[in-house]
Amino acid sequence: MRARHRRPLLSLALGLLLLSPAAEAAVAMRRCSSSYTQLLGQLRSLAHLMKDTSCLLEPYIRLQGLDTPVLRGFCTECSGAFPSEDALAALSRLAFLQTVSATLDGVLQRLAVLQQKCLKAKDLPEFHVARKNIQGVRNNIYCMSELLTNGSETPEAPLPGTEAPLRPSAQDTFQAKVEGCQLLCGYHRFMGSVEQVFEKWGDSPSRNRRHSPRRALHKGARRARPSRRVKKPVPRGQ
Amino acid sequence: MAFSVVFQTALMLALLSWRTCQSEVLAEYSPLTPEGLNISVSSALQHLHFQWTVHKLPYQELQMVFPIEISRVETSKVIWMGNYSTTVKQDQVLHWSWESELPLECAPHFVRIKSIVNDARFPELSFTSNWSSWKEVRAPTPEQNHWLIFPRNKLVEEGSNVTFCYNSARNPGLSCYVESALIDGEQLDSNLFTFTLTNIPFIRTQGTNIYCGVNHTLKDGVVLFVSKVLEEPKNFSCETQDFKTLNCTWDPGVDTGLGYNRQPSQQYTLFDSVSGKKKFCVHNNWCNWEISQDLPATFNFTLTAENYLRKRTVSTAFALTDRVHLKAPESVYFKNVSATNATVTWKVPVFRNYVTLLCQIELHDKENVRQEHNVSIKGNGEFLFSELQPDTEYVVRIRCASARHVWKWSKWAAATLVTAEAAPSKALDVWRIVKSNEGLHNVTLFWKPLSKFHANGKILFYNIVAKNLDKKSELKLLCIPAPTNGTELTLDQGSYQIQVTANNSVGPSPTSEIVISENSGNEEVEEEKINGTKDGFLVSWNPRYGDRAGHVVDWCEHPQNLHCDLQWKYLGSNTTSTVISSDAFRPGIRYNFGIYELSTDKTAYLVEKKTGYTQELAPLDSPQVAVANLTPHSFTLSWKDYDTESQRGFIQGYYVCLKSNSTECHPDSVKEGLPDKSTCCKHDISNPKQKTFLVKNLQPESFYEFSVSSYTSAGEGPNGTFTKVTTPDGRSYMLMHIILPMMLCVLLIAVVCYWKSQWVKEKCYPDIPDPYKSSILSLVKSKENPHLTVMNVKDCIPDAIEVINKSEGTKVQFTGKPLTESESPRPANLYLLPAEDFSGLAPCISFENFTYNESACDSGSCAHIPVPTTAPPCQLGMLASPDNSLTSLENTHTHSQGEIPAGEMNMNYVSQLASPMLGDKDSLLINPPEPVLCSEYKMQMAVPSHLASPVLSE
Repeated sequence: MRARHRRPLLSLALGLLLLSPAAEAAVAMRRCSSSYTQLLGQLRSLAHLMKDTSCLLEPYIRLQGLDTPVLRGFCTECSGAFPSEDALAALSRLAFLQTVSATLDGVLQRLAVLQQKCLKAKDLPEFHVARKNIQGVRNNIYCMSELLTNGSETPEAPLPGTEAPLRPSAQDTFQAKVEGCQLLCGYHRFMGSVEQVFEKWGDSPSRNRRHSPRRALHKGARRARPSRRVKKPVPRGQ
Repeated sequence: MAFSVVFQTALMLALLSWRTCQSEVLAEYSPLTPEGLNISVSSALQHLHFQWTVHKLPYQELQMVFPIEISRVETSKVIWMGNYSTTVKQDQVLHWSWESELPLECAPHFVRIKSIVNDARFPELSFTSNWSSWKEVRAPTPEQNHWLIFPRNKLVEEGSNVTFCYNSARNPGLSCYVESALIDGEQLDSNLFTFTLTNIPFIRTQGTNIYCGVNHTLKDGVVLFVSKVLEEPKNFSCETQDFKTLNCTWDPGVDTGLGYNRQPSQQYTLFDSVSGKKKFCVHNNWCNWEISQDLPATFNFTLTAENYLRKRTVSTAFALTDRVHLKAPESVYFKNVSATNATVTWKVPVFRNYVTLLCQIELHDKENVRQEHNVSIKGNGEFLFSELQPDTEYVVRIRCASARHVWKWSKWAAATLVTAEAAPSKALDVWRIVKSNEGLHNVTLFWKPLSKFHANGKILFYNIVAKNLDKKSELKLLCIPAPTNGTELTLDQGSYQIQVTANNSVGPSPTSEIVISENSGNEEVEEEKINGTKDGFLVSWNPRYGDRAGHVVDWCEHPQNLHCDLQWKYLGSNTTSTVISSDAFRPGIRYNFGIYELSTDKTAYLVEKKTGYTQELAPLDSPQVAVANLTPHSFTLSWKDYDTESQRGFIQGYYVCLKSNSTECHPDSVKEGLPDKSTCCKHDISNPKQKTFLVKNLQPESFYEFSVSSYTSAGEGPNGTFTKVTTPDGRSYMLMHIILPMMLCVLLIAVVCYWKSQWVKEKCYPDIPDPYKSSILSLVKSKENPHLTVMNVKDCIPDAIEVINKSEGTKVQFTGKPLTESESPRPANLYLLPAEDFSGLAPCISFENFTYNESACDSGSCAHIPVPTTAPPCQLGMLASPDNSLTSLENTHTHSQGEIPAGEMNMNYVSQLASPMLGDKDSLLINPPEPVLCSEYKMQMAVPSHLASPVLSE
């Protein structure tokens, strides 16, 4: 009994000390819930929370003075760098998870850059909360991926090219402002799409998705590429 | 002549041509013309930087002027003309800048320059060159030139003016906005528009958005960063706590930092001109400076605040010893602490101990600063406090500064000092209540707790000694534990001296003394009313006794409570008045004050009593009224006194309010409207002692309502519930009051008559007349025949006796009422007849003669003397006629004795005449005679059964 308690602690300590990806993954795995329903519920809840524009986009618009009809209209032309809901829905569950995780990874980097270049730390505390939420989603995605992988589903490649358009491009301040706005708009819309896809997931982890025609077209290309697992989770609080 | 004219002309032409030629040669070879003009653009600053040279100066330096022309869009549109004057040296590269109001990216600019030699030292060199050729200048823009508005990312200070331009060549109908406000641009060229923002305000650190679009479609935008104006640092000062480092502080003012790293917060730099050292400060409001121990301890600091747009500086110069701000003293301790003295010691952490320090010492109690002292020390400090209060908690605070120059005091260091206890310093304030009861004095002692100032420690107990002044040996000792502030003593009627002391751990207080005399508690003093105010009561009195030590006024602060909270006040011997005030006094509460004179032997005598209200209120209740003496024309109201203590003011009288159907009021009353819109006649009874009221002049058989309310000086009490009264009918009342007494009189007369009838009867016609006593007879005798004598019955010999047999079922009845004359119109002879058969339930025998006819008993309750049936009949013939005998029997239901069985039938008679031998009928009652056979006639007399029975039984 005592040994059972010591094992997670030991793993956690080693993971923190060594800071190796394997150790981190092991730590995250130890923390993962084995309940598919619970994980799915958490993912749905987080996606629902993160799609709300009042959490990030609206504070950003107010802070930057973009709350005018012309500028708001431009802001709501959300960044097209995010996968559409149709594209996400066409993916297998593992590929979907990988895509979401990779996309959110890109969002994290953009947010970090945006915060570093444009804002003072005290300017927009919502940024900090958003980053924590994204990390939480990615951790849950990792756990869900592990759960599905241990089941019957075969890992597949995510949608290509999800990260490149998210790199910061604007040098001009005004452009940086409105691009940040569009990025956040796209982020919220993307999380809305993610929520919709999660809503369609069944209660059982063993159900296989039916592939869409689009997915069938890309099937060969994905098979040619090495399958990629979901990135290791980011410990919360970093 | 002609030759000379031609020669002159030719000479003139030659000179002219030479001159012209000379000029051309000079122009071509002038070494003073500007050369190598180079123009660079600073887009951020909107500056054009000119750079040129002047070759082949004939002298080392030459004063020159350079006229410059700048055109925009095209060379013909000159927007600026000016001269640049300078002293030009040989081979010098000349620089000059021009700032454009319009962003240089908006349009191409053209520049030309020429030179003029204007040096007074060399007047022969006066020379103006030609203009240089126009030089076009274009500000660089990014390759993918989709920007429409300029300048980009400009940084200005709040309040500045900025000119923007935008190009609508590719976007016809382009509109531009500042934040959300549409801006009208001024057309500069066919597609070039400008607008100027003046006195620009600071909106946000993220910059002001200026953007253009077509039909609400954004085409381009810029951010104008407006910085707040950098302020001069305020309150710049430096000080040292330890002589090692100087801590310089200032108030930085507003933060001028902007977002997008356009401008960081202002930076601060500290420079000491004495040492020549400079330090960049990390923080925006303070900076530490290391003191070099080998340098003179003087400084001249300059603090510079700087951002991208401006610099601000402030300076301060000082000697180190003038900027000493010591740390708070440490190790504050006390030693040799007694009840009134204590010594405090402390240390001051100073790097250099040679500095003389000035220290302030404060001694606080819980309320105020009690002592303040200034002490000069070097290193450690020590100070002796005296005149302290025993058992008191003090706070000692110490702070120090440099004695040479008090720049700032250190922070206070504080420590708590508690002095030792001492014996209480003041006698208790004692008072008493004395009540006499059954030859004893019940003395309740009260004392006020000593203040902390006088207690000098925690009071542990109170000692009470009661000494009988008549019997010196008698002592009563009591020890009352604190915090009790009173006790009860039961003493006999003698005089007692009571001594009270308060005791703490050190000792007792001075003794407080009070004397209880024999008369204490029995004083009879009339109570006097006084008027109080909200500020209290002015109580005054007249001195009674000449030799007095003082006065005491006592009262209850809460007279309505069970514990009245007795208060008292000692006053001087010459005082004859005082104001008693208390926060506990409430309006509508009666307060009673007792005024005592204290004799020199501490005996208190009650001299006056006062009672009053701080504010009288109207009564809360109405009296309970009873109705009496109700007549058709009046009735009487009566009520009882209030409880004095419950009165909310002195009752000054009563109002009787009478409602009736009559619209008029009696003259001694006034009509008054009531809340229910009815009216009543109000009678005022101004005498509060009057508790009855006669309501008169009423109508019989009428309905009246009345209420009685009391009033004080504050007003009338509530109108009580109206009580309804209906006056009775006058005639029936009269009847009741006339006929009833009349009937009573008649009845009385009847009773008297009846009583007198007995007397008359007895006197005039007794049941068994005594002939000897008959007044009638005497009258007859005296008037008619003085020789008439009474016939003696014994002289008669009865010759016959008849016994009438009463048939069965015939009941002998006694009517129980005296027979009237008609019923027995004549005397009847009575015959005793034996009954052969009888079964009557209660047969009685009655005897009747002309003087006697009365029932002897009633049925069932008779006591009969049995008569033996065998007894020989007696003759009654002389008294009864045979003819009347039956009639008489039927009427009187007379039965013979012989029909009545023994035990069931009693004869309730006694012989009317005693045996001749006996001669006295009274003796018959004692010894009833045996029936005598054939004896002479005996007069018989019936007696009531209740009298007869016991007598007979005897």
